[in-house]
Amino acid sequence: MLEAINLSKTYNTAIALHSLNLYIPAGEIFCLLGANGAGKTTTINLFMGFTEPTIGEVLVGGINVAQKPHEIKKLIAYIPENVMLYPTLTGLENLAYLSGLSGTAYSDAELVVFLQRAGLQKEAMKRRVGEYSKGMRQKVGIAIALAKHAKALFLDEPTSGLDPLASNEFSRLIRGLADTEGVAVLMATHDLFRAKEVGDRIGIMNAGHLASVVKAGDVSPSRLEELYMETILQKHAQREAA
Amino acid sequence: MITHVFFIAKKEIADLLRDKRLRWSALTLYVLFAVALFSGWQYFTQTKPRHADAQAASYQQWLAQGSKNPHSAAHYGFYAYKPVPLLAVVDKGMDDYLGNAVWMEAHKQNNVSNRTAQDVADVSRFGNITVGFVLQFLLPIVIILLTFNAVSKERESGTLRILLSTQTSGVQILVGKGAAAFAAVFGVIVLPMLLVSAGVMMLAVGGQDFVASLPAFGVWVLFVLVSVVLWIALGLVVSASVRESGAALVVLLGVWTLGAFFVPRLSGSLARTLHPTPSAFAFNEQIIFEKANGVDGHNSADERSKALEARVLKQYGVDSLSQLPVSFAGIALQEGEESDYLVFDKNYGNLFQIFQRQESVMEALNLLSPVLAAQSISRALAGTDTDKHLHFTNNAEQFRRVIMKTMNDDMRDNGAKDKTKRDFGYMASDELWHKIPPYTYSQPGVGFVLGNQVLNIASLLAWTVGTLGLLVWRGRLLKP
Repeated sequence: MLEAINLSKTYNTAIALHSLNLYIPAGEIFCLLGANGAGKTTTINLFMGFTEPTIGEVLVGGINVAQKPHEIKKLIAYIPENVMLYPTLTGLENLAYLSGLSGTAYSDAELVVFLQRAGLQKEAMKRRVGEYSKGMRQKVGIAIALAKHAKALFLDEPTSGLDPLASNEFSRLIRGLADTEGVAVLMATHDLFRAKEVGDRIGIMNAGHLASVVKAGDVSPSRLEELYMETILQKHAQREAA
Repeated sequence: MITHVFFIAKKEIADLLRDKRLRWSALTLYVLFAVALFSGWQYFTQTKPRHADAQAASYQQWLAQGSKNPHSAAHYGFYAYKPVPLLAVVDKGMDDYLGNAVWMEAHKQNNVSNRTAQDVADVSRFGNITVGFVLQFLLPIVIILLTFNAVSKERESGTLRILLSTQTSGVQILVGKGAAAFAAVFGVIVLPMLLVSAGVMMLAVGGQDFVASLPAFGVWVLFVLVSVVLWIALGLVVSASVRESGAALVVLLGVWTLGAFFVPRLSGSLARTLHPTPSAFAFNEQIIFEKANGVDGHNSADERSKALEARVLKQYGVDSLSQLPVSFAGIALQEGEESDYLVFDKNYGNLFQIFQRQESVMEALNLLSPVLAAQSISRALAGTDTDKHLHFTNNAEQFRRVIMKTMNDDMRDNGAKDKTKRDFGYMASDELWHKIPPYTYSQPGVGFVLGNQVLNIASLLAWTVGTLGLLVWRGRLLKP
């Protein structure tokens, strides 16, 4: 569903992403771990067509993103660390607006169903989003993905700043989307525990390189942490030596 | 495409209508508009009848001058007043500075006098507020305030990222926002102002005269709308091109300031430097010299008089002026007038050419300023610009020449009938004065105006089309 082929991105002389080769099939959640500036957000931006690759190709559902950036918008949804919605509109109005712009106009009753599936309380739906907590805005973000019937979902630090309960609920919803709707998920996160819990595979990025990829089921939380530290320290040492 | 644009426009209109910026700026503009419209209405309703009364009184004096020599009557003359066009209600233009009355008398092509600006208080040196000024100078500021952060705010808050992850293109976002801004500005500010202006103009003159002014008013409205589209597009282009809203505001206010303050001063100074006008003293001295010595300076009035005398005596086959069956004075006066016409046509022609060259320099620099281009078009359509003034000046001069010819021909034909009262002793009756109809001036049509405004119209349209092109280009490149 999602494929990066020899994908690189350079800003002036700075290498943001180097020769990424990655395939994420439908129904899989792939978590990208890495420190700040490792290249996680750049990877998501390339998949969403927000920036053009310097070298290589990005495919979403077999469509080349650089060639048909508008086409792939039908297939994708995006939930950033802070889902920024229009604060003067209610959750329901935000969903109506953004799903409308995604090509489908739903009735209020249908929109309520999407918001309920995303876990938003019914009484909150008609309140202005300016009054929402971060977790509630994340739920509207998920409802947008549901309304779009997105085939691919990009999550950029989605659980950062959420309390454990909200994080857990969010993870459950994402897992559900992958399992029941067959959505391919690319999730960038700092949260090793969340990656291990929700992901099918985990990639560790460092300085624009996808240094290692492991199956979440094959690695214990402590081993994952060791691997993460090794990767970062190894690269750090290489840079020091150079 | 249209569905997405409609969705965005609908949401943006709701946002704009909730936005206090629109409410407060509209309220401020309404106050200024009310003052401007009242001022324009007062100017029109007071000046128009005053001019009509003064011109009628002057003409009545002409008719009632009693038995008099035609040449004395030619010196007596009467006033022609430049009619106040109806659209002066919305744009008084240059009327205060160009004068509005010309004294039509023998031997002289008088300048248009009675400039309102000469009689007003010092406070008026800052210029008058007109509806045109509100819509061409102040409305762009309101549009800037409404659009400067239309896109940059979405970028700063992160909603642009969400918006661009839907099936909406950057072009659709910008067009939708532009359509919303146009609907809000037009619906809340421009349309009410245009309707009230039209209503006030109709009340000022009645339906029939208003209908006669409708073509000019319609085109005037069209250019107001073009200007609105231009500033909305410019606001969105800048907002989509910068990272921070503050930077967008600075850039847009910079463009406005450049166009509204720097370019007019630059173009005025440059026009005067490149094409200087002679001083009034030098101009009048030159006319006096050429009238005395001929246009080429080598044919004195005495020589011309002698040559004329010889020619007339030969034509009538007589030896002395006293034997002529016609009044030689009448012939000589008309000959003198026609000789003066060459002087006037040459000197005023040169002067008007200088004005037109200055105008051309300013029009060329209007390419840098859509505000000034719009203002020039507005004044031209309102009939309160320099071109219209020169049109009136020429028209009045042609009428003066008809008066002079009628007086001189009458003196020629009748000034020798009574040998005891030849030439200047001849007295004409009221019948002669009635041969001169009251002076009437018809406003040139919209075609005349548009023909004189080609460069300004091209400038405004180039800015608008160019900015709309930039809008589409920025839309295609729009990134979060």
